[in-house]
Amino acid sequence: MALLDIKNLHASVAGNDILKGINLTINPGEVHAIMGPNGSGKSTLSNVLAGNEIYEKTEGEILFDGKNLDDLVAHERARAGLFLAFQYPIEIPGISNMYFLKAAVNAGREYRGEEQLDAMDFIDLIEEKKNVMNLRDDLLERAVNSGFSGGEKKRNEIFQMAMLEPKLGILDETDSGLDIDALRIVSDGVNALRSPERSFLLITHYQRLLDYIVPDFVHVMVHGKIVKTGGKELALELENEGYASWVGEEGP
Amino acid sequence: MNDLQQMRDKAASVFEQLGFPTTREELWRFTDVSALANQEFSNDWSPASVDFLPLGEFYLVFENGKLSPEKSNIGGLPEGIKVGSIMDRADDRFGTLADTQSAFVAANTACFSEGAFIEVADGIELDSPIHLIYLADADGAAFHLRNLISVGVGSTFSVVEEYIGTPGTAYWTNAVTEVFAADNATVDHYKIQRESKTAFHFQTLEAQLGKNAVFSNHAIALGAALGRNDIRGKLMGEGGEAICNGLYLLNEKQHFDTHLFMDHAVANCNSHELYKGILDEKSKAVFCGRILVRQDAQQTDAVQSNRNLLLSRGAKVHSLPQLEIYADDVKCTHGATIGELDEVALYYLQTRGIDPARGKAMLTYAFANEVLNEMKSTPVRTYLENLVHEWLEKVSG
Amino acid sequence: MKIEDENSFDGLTDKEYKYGFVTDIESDSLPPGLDENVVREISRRKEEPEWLTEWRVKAYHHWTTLEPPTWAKVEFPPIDYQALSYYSAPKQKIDAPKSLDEVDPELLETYKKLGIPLGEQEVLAGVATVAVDAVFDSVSVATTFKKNLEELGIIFGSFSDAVKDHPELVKQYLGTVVPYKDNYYATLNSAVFSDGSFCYIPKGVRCPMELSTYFRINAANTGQFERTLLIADEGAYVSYLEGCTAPQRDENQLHAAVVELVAHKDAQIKYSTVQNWYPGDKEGKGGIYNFVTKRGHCRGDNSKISWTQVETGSAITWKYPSCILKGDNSVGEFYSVAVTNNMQQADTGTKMIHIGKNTSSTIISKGISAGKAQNAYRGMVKVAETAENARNFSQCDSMLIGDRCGAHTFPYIDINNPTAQVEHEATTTKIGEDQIFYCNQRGLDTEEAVGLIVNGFCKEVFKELPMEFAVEAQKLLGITLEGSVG
Repeated sequence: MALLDIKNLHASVAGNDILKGINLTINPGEVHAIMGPNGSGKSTLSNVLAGNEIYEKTEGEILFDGKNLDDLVAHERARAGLFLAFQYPIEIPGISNMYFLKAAVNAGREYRGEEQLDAMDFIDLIEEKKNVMNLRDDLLERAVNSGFSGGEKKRNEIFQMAMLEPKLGILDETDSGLDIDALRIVSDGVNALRSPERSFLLITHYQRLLDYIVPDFVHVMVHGKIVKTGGKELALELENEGYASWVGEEGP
Repeated sequence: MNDLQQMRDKAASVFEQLGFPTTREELWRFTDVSALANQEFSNDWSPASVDFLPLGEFYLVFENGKLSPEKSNIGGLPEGIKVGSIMDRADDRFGTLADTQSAFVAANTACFSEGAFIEVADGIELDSPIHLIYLADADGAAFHLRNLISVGVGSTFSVVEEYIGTPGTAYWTNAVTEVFAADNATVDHYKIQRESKTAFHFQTLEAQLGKNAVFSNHAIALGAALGRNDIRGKLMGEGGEAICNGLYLLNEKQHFDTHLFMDHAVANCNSHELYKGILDEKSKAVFCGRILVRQDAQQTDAVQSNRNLLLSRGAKVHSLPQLEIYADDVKCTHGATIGELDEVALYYLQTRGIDPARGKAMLTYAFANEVLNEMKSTPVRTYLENLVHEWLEKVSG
Repeated sequence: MKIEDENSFDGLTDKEYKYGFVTDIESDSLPPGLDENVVREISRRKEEPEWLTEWRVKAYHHWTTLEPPTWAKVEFPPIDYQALSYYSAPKQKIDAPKSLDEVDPELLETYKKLGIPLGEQEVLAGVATVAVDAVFDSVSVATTFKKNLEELGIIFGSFSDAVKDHPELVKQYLGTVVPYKDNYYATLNSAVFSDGSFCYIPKGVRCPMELSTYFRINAANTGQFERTLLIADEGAYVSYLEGCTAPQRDENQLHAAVVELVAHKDAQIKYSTVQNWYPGDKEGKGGIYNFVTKRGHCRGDNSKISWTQVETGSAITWKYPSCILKGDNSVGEFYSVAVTNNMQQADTGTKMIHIGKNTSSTIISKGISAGKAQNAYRGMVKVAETAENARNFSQCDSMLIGDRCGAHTFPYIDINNPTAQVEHEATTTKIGEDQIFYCNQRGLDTEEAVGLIVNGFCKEVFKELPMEFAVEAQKLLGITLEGSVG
């Protein structure tokens, strides 16, 4: 059974149609990349999947792990194993990263009928995961993303993913704004999480990320539609030729 | 030493002349004290049976306005630190800082009969805060409390003023605290106001900072039916830094007013002010924060922020941040916001599996916690974290 | 859009106050002093209906019970209201001119100096696209384009004419936004106002040109008390410009005007002011006391009122153009640049009163202070209990030039509904020496550099002004700040 099955998805924001019929199937263990020019609807897709209510799904069906996503609101989708690494992670002053993560991890465990982690277990889990992302201890004590650099925020997103162990990780332009070292750390973190059960959807503008996280499939998205699907070589093709030929085909 | 009786007579005639302020006065536009003005207060004394938790090794306890040596503990104070009753003070500067043209200060000067006197010599460091605890449960009583805190050159010192009242009792606390922070001194002042929600609470806090002195004030208000803090920081020496933070958590029909005045008299000083409020039911908050940068106060860096969260219909906020600037080479900003919780933050929490109800509770706590986070003293912070949690649980339950 | 007259805005770049000339013209004035008889006499000379006379008299009696306000951060000696003359009209106005040909050529010359296009030749040449109503001392002297506007059903002209020709409209709206009891100066205005502009835009009409009033105080010892009433009926749109100058005199002159705006359902009013009254000399001698009450009422749903002001003149400015947002989804805006130099004082800002649901307001205020001037922003944002989902954003920035001046910010935020979101920010900055040096290095002199930086600082407000006003405003800013950087 597919982990994620999107059929004829249409969505709009503030009355503007952005997604105009997306079809996409992701099986367990697969890594898919969606590439496309700015404004093609990539971020809209990730937000619609995560359940952001600013975006309105107007048509189509999304099945995630056998469940219809229409029946789940944002936090239920998260608990069911859908994780979105944000392009611009929000700062939440006043809540420490540790406290926040503990609440999130235990919410997921409760949903799955697992026992709550106590403070000691939780710290053990943190110790186990944090080294992967090279996160400084003081960042864990600090308020969520507050005063983090751009790179630290992105690493923190992947760290959260490692802690929450989702079934599907959606990375929304996680590579944007990262220098080459940070990109490598983030990619290593993602690669370490790859497994036959876990799938990824990488949303990116550049091919660069895909040198580090090698996808099984690459999709080209233009004007709210997937216009071409191929293997990892498609990304290279795009890198050389750009999106121009695609964008030209259909006016905005 | 000033002749106390002369001071009292003068203050009494000032009060006579001024009377209680009315809402026609700009500084009292939003706070009506006629309920207080129309009431008579008695001087009968009785012991107080109110629980308290000392937040440090050394503490003074005042019961219904009177110092209780039995309940206090100031034994074994390090050398160079004097803690005692204001009636035994030995400091010429007494009464020189407090605004003599304020009706509440005048009433206090004319009537005070108790309070704390703390003198810290030069070059002293004390980790544990001195805890001043004012217990009240005497219906119909007025407590004019007067404190004088003087911290010597290069000393590091912290003090907590905590006002605790038995729920349901109605009384009037009218406190005045003068703080002198000498050159290079670091003074942390905490004020925890947990008066009975049927009481009146007024305090004037005046602090004067010498060269390179650092003064911080953290004012937490939970109690009183009608309360007001008048806080004035005077930066009198270059390199001084004043931090004035506050948190007010109000419900029922509580009315709480903060008037903050930061006076930059000399160059190269900083001041930072963060005031936050959470208002439930029919409560009302007033925040007036005035930053004055005088002509000589070049290179001033002053930042003020007032943020309010309204939890219910009927809650009201008046926010008046003010900048008055007479020097050109300065960096001054203020900001005020009033609103509900950030929807985007709530969504972010949701994408991590945290449901909206929990998310709201977390964000509300986080909102308040930003003020607590700025506190250096761990025991004080922990104590307040618990009080804030309790308050929020009561409000959301 | 450009006015090509040689004598128009070019003169503004000169350094001194260029409008300081006095026009030698005979005027018909009342002797100084104020009592009920003077009020009645003003009304009689203007041949007003009885209801208006009685309204004035009521206002006068109320005024005698009031004290001048003292809360503003301005200082001036008490005004002797009995020493002022409350009526001054150019003499020939008594028999109102039928066309511009009959207007006293001296007056036309005055307006030419000011750069106000009144002459028919300009109209014919198609140079001017602005309909102008000019108010000289207290009386409206000429209105251009009246015919073109009449075809659209737009009424635009002097207040006096409106009282005669459209008494029902005046009666219906006068005092409904600024009641005669409103405040000391507005009450005084209600009693003695002599003229002003009146404008009515009918349902669904989009006024095709900018409407403009130009105010000028000429006579000595005169108070100028105009009253402007502007109504945009359902779905109407109008952009209105107001400019002001006065001759250079050693005495202070009082200008206490009232402006009332009414926006019905779906209507929009854009009101722009460039205020350049005589500011007094460097020592603070003379200049206009500009004590003005301006208020707009967003009466209908989806209405919008936008105030833009550039205040460079006057010895003292005391004005708070405000919006009452009563209709659901109504919008209020306030964009302001206030510049004070030498001994000038300004206490200005706005009030945004949110009453309807989903109302929103924006306040952008830029205060620039130089010399020994004092410049205060004072503004109120009030969200009533009924105003669900009200939104306000306020940004108040001050710039100080020199270390003898003051910049002050006094917002009043009053929130009574938990769904409101209100944000206020204020900053204070100076012009950095490094910024000036950078400009110097690129070949600009210091004055040019300051002009450039100041204009950049005010950009957000200037972009709200109609093109020709924006150009004028930028030049005025340069003149006002002349000599402020050593």
